[in-house]
Amino acid sequence: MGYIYLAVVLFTGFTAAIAVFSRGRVSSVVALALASVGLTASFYLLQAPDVAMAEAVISAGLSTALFLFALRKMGIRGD
Amino acid sequence: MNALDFYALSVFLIGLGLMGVFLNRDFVKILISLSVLESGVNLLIVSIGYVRGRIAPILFSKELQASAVGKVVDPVPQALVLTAIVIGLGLLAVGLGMAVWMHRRFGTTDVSELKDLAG
Amino acid sequence: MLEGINRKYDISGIIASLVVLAFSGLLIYLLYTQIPYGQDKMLVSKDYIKMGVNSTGATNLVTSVVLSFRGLDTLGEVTVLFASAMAVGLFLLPGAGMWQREENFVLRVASRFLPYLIILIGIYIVSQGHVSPGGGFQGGVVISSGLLLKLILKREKESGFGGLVHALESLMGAGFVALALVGLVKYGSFLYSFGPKGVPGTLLSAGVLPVLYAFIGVKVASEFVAILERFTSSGEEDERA
Repeated sequence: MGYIYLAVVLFTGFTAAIAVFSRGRVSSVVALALASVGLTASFYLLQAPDVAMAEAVISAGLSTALFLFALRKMGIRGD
Repeated sequence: MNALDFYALSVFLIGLGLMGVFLNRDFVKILISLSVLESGVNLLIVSIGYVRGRIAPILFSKELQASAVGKVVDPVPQALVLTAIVIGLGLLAVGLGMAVWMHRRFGTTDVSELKDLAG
Repeated sequence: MLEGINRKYDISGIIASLVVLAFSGLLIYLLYTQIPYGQDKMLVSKDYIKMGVNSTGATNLVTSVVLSFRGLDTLGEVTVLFASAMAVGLFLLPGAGMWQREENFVLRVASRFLPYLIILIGIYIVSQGHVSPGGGFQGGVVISSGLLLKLILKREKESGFGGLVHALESLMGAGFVALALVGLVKYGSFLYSFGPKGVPGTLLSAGVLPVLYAFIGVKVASEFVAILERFTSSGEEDERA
């Protein structure tokens, strides 16, 4: 049972590291979305369903969409 | 094993976000690092409120409503983090608007080139 | 993969890394010694849990904390959201219309029912925020994504949509403050949850809390639709991806 915690923690940490240190902007945004999914799972494991729902809808949904819209407006064709 | 994980993960995210804000040059990457930093802080606050062995603060049955004090996780950090997540989205919207404006006005989003320009 | 960072190995980068490392180490040490993980540290929350259902009638304790016990923080958040929507309007001019899209079979089929389904799910999340996880903020964002889908799929340029959205957002914000002031005037404390408590656990319970969450849901939805509309419409020098 403790393996789920370890898997979620490692997944979130790894994708967040990719998001910060990656070179391309689009891959960074996608890694941020994955880190938000890992964060949603973490909030669920911490017995916080309200916060998990908010993190899923806002961070993995609308925030990623905002990033991609802004990147498109700046003329990125996909790094 | 699940004792130390979430504290370590949240401090790791905070450290990653701080490094990203310091070391990145592209403004969009700085915003992404800011988002990671803010997620780390939210995770830290919620994991402070966690009590081992208890359940979520939704009182869905009568007997749970009668004697809930020793059985649920702290609801106050969750309420604060709910607010903080939404405010982080507002911050991101303003930051991305600033990034688009910066790209239109100066042609680049590289912040190291901006300090030479006299507004 | 590491070329995104400044690769010149200058002294400021090294100093920054050392400072962050020292800060993280200090934070970890303080956390492990001062705030033990997984132990009962609730002081104020014990009272909130004990009198939560009796005082507000909501079985979702987080809702009762957000809207009733710490309602002033929610008022601050509503203000911050409004300010951020205005600030986005400062940086991005209102667009001339939606980006022109190519004809797409999947979008054409999905646009018949998908936005309404998403909006319905959002209304569901908002309306049962006091008995189950959810509430105004989460449901408002879902509603705004459904409205955005509807906005993207329209072909003609938008004319009166912006005005309606801004009017709705301000109206809902004013409604929230008005309900809070009713609590102040009539019951002696700002944002007091009045109204019939009902049977806790049913939909029509918790007094004025579902109404407050409905106001917040509509406000958040209209704000984010306004923000997203600025981002997805073509202003000057628009680029086609």
